[in-house]
Amino acid sequence: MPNFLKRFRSELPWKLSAVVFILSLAATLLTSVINFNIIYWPLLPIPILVSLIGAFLISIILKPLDQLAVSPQIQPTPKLSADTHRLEIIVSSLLDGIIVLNKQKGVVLANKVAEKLTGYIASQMVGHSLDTLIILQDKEGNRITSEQLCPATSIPTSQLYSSKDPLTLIGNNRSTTHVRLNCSAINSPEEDLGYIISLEDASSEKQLEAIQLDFVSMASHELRTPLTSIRGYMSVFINENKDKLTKEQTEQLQRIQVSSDQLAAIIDNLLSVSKVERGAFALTAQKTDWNQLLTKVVEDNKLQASSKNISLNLESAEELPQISIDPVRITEVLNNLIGNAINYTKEGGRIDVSSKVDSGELITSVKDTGAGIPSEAIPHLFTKFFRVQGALDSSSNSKGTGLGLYISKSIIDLHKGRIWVESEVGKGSTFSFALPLSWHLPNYQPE
Amino acid sequence: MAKILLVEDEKFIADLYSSQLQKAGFEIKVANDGLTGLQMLSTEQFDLLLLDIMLPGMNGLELLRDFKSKNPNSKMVVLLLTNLGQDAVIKEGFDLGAQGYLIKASYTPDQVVQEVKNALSGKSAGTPNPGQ
Repeated sequence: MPNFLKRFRSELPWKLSAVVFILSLAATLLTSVINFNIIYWPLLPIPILVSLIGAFLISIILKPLDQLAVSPQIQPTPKLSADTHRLEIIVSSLLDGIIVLNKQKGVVLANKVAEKLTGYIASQMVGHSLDTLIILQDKEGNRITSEQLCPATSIPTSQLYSSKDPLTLIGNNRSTTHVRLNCSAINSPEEDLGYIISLEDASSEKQLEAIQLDFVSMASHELRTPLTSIRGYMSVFINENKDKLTKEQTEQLQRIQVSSDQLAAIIDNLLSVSKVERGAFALTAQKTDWNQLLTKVVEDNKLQASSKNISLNLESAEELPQISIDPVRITEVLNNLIGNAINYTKEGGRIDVSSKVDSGELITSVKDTGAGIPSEAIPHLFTKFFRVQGALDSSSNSKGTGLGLYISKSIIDLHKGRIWVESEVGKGSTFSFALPLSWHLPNYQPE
Repeated sequence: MAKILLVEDEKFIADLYSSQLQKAGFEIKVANDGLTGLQMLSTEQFDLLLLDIMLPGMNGLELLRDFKSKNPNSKMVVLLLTNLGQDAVIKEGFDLGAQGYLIKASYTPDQVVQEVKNALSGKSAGTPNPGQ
């Protein structure tokens, strides 16, 4: 009922009664003065009685006005109710959950998807503060309150909150789901229209996130599983039976070992390249004893070298320093350079590994007596999938995927070092890399 | 004699490591999936947990999370045994309290036994945390 009508309705009888009272009082006094020449006060009850009867009669007359007040003064036009109905259909058909909060963060409206995500029906939510109904947690398990989601603001229709990662929503009966969430302020002075929260179901995203694996990682894992058994059982078998085996049998088994070692290295390379491609190659800096690392790597490659009768030597130089590097990745580089040298050197050849300090850099070289590399091939050596062909075809074993040098260069670049080759066809090649002694890695975030 | 729980679903690998660790003098029990592993952890005390990550049903990280939430002060050493190369997954293992990880395909059984010995004597074992 419009306010003016309300006021009119409540105040009118009294105003009228007051008017009637004054008029009847005046009439009574006048009559008394005219007829009796004095104001005859005992006549006073008469105007009071008259105004009371008048008030009673006015109330009865005004009763129809109440009926008017009860029924809607403004009848909605058919078009307006059709629009409201359409809006209701639209809101309930949204794929996102919608919760409207008033300015005190109490729930005013919740659509079907919001009901599904929270575990409440709308009528259970309306009138209650959002924080008493649901608990929202971020990735670290910290609670996010409605105040943090929708801080009081004077900027209308501003986006107040948008979740980067899915949040955990604990709703009715401790039901748990994962959602992406946005909150924005509603542009309205009305108390009921404070904020609008939209919720997107992120549960399938969360499942994928649980173990986020790309195709190459999965493929690597699948390949490594049977390889683990091959290498493992081979190692155990040889250890337990080496006294019972003939020389020839031992050699055959060692070739199986070498081949499975190479397979493992190729898988490692595939995984590394995938990381390099995705820009997700993480380094972990550690103070490393260079002598110790170099000695271990050369030892690990001795078996493969001796299977081709190649002598693999480490020229232990002067005192080599501790250096801040990623030991796992640099080991990968060394394994790659030595492995290449073994591949491209004929039977009976020689590989020398040496290291020295020069002008603030630690320079390591792998020198072989292999076939050498034609000068036109050298600029392409450190690119993906490049393998030197032509004159080398007859002597190379065509092993490897051509990824090793590409990965090695990526690793050395990340260490802010340099990698290069000096080579002469028919004489051999020397691959070298320099690592700055003063370098400290700013810690990367892994993928 | 130290007691080890190996949680590994691949039978060949589980047999390989358990036999080698037994020969090295450890008492070893094996679970072939995450749930069984968790049940065994709740009923017995182990000095070291060798934990595969890719397991059917509950994966290794979920197992570790569950175990640590119920036993935050456990002194049991945890070594992740995995063929996964993804740093983010391994880093999560370290965040959940693992002391080291070994890429199975890169270690011979002898080397795994040595890393277990290193870990139990408080030395650093396996490959360090890729996330540090």
